[in-house]
Amino acid sequence: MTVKPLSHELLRPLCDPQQFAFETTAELEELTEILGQGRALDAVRFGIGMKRDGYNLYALGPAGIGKHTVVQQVLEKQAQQQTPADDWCYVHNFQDHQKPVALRLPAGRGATLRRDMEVLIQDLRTSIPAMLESDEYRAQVQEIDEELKGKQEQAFADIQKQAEQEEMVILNTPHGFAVAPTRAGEVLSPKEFEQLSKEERQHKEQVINRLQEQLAAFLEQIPRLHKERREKLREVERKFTMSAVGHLIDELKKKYQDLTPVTQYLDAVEGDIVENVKDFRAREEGAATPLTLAFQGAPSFTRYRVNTLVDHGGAQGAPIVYEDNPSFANLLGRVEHSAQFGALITDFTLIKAGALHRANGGYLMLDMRKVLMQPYAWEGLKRALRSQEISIESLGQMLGLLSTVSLEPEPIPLDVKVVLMGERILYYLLCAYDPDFRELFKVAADFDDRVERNPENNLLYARLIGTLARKGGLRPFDRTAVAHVIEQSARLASDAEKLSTHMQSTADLLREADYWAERAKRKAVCAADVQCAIDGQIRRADRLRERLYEEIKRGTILIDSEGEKSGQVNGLSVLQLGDFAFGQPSRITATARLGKGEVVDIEREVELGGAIHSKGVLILSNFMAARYAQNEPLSLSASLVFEQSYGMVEGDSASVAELCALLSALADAPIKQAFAVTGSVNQHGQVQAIGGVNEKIEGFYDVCKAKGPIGEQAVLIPAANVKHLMLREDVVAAAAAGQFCVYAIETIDEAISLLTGLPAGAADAHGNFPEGSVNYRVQQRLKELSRLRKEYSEGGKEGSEQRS
Amino acid sequence: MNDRHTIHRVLVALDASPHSRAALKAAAELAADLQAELLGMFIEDINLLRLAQLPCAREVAYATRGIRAVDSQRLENTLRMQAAQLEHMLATVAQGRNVPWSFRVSRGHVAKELLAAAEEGDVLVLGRVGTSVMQRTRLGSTAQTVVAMARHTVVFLEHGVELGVPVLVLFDGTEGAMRAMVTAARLTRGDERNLVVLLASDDRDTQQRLQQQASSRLAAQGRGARFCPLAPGTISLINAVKREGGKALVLAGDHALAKEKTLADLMRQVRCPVVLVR
Repeated sequence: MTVKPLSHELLRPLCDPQQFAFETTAELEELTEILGQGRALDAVRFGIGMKRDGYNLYALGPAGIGKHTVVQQVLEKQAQQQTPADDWCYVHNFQDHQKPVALRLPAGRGATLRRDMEVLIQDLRTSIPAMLESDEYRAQVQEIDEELKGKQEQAFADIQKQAEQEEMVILNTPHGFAVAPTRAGEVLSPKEFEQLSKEERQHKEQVINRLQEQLAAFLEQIPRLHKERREKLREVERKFTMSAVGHLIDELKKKYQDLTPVTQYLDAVEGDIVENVKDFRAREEGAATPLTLAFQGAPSFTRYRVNTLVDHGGAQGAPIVYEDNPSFANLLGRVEHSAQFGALITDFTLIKAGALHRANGGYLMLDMRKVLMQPYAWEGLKRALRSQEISIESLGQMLGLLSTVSLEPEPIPLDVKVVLMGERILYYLLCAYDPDFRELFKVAADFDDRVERNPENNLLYARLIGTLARKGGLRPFDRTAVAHVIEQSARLASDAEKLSTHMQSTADLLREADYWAERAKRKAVCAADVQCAIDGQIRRADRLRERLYEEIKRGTILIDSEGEKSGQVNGLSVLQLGDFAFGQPSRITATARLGKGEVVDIEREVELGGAIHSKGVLILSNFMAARYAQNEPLSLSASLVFEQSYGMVEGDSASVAELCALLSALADAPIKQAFAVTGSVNQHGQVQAIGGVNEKIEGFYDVCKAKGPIGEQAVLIPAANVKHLMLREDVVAAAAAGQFCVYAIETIDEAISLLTGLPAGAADAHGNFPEGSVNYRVQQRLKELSRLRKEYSEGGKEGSEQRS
Repeated sequence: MNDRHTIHRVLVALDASPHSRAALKAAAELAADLQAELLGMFIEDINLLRLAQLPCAREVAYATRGIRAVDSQRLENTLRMQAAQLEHMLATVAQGRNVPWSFRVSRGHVAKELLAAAEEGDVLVLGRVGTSVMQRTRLGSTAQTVVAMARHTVVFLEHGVELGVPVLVLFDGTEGAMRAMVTAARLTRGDERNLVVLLASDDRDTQQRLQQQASSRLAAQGRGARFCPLAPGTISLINAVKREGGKALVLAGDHALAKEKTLADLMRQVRCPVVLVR
């Protein structure tokens, strides 16, 4: 069995520019559909259309795949067909000022109500004082005053008259009234009083007592009379205020008659104005300083204002809100405070809307990562969605840390479709650990990061390039550039048969290619510009790769690219640094000696090997036993190591290389060092697919090129990985020139045969291999080791094995 | 009293009522304007002191409505205390306006004492006396006596009104009215626009004659005024004061309105100080 090198066409399935009928992407129509996201789109549309509780969306996929754009597009389309959401206003609660009332009005009428109320209060501030300054009002007040005074004076005059008849006078003392007996208008002196007869004195005292009692009764009734006066004044004031307020309020009530809560509010406003008409008069008297106003409370008309929390006036369709900073307060709204003389005060006008308020009746888009990073934002969002209403309270209140008097705004009913966008891992973690999550976010829109590469999709991709170029203000791309971008997209997808749908990478590439086209003063971007952009991206990221290859070239890191050696093979690994990945050849060596049938993976022994790597080594040791030592103990002690590896080794992609090194060591069959091998092996010796095949091949090519002229180097890859090949153009050119080969292998036998140049050998019915083959040599060596072990154990020499 | 140089003192009767405080303030303003001395008088009512010595002396208190004995000693103390407070108040107000002042306490009938203290060329300033429960259609007995007996210019005020400009004067061509107008001109703080001469007649010719008469008299003193015709009757006078926003109404002491009964009514309705010029 001879394995032939892969044809260079398979190493980089090209995208033929001739398949495109256009010259540049400027001729192509806009791509309105979304490439390759059928599943996610269906999910988004379903989620939007489903009007049941809990059918919120989670758009999952890697960052940069275009989730935001896609979701936004779909939402915009849907929102345009919907009616604008209602406005929400907070107004003063005249029954309980700490619980502002929420009013719902059709879009645009919230702002109208606010203006109407401002005008109303302005009007009243002139019309009420005018009404209370009117002659009619004054006359009525005067009438009441006169009535009171008349009653008082009449009563007093009666007493005075009686006093005069009895020759008495009523005097003002510093604190009250006194009745004194007189003669000829003068108060009697004590002496004159003494000279009166006893009867006269007694009579005078009786009169004085009587008059004093009458005076006391007179004083007694004064507060009652004043109270009556106040009540009457109040009634008159009320009557006049009503006549000033009534028709204005009635006009407003008529305007808002279709909105019962608003008319109820207006009723309350009317009642409050009538009750507090003094506020409207106070201004006229003036003379208050700012300081006294601050402490005594200036007549405030704030309570008649309307806080338009959400104003959808002029909006087309339902709202779509993206909150970039989804903190607890930004999501659920907050009550602000203003400082006045060192104290923090608040009222309903300081209630501020959150994203949920603005999106109510429409759609809210949030980045899941940001939501989770903001303290309590996720909990707050869930609570709002679960209770279907937005209650505004501060974090301090929610946690019970603050108990200062604040507002408790009336909760607003919530009807919103929330679209969370985030990575897949967050979705799966939330599914596993947050029981609320599945209940509230029932629809997952899973964004695919790759799409089939076929002529139809190639054309769609060309249109996508055209659309992105147009939106980004870039030059049009000619067909060669489009073909090159498509090839690069396949490379990004790590699959020759797929295209990447990672929009951010594509858009970056287009922008950078445009930059190079501009530098070259070209009107359209061509393939060379795209290549410049790709090379530029690599150049910017490959400092470490360069250092590594340099050290290989200088012999610091030992890699052979020519000659033959037993028990030593070039393995290939991939290093991922940020967005940039590159292949690194590693020398893998194996030693074998007499032992108890164990294969020691040195990486695992020192805990530098990951679980999958260890699994690969265990598989190969069992492959050895199964193939070569079915009827006798595997009397082998082997060790495998990644030379000059000082970090973690993970993955099983080196297991073919390790097995080849071990077989080479056992068979003493030297391995060609011009070859490198990658692939994992199973217990039956079949070679299985691995990842990063392109980087691995290119890595080995680059190292060989750095060390000397390319001629006979080759890389062995699993046959299953051929479809993933999307190699660099220089590698493909070397292959076409016969200087560099890529072999696709399916079994370990093919690998060892290619590496050693010896036949692998197939077992006959008895399990014996043909003489001279690698497998025969391995089998013989294992038999010998088994025999030696038997000798040792029979001679009691077990445990004193010879050290190799 | 016709000559400004003869005014050398403003006399104000003080008691503990708010009216009296308004009177003090106005008197101080007046004294400052006329560069005159301010004399505050506190008169202890002899009748009250006599009463206190009677065995049957009792008072009905305003606040508690209780009846209690009037103690002579306590009354004396209270009066002394009031006098001290009033003197302090007088000092504060007068010094605030840089007016020379003196304070006098006497005992007797309030009006009589006041008139006895007044000399030629004094102006008397009188707040309405008494408490809010009394006296509407009637002036207090003090004011009655002063109106009836004073040979001086008297300013009547009550709590809540201030003496100021514009000054309105009722002019009917009599000699008394002429004197009133000249006095009014002195209260205008040097701005003739502040003087409004109300020409009391419904006859156009008479009005013109009165205006000529008044303006030539004012011109002789280098003064001027605005003139307004005024129909006869109290109502039109009251309306004129309200319309002009008058802060002083000057009447001749011998005018028919300057009688005890009509004056009280007038003062209540115009809500501005009334000046009777004699």
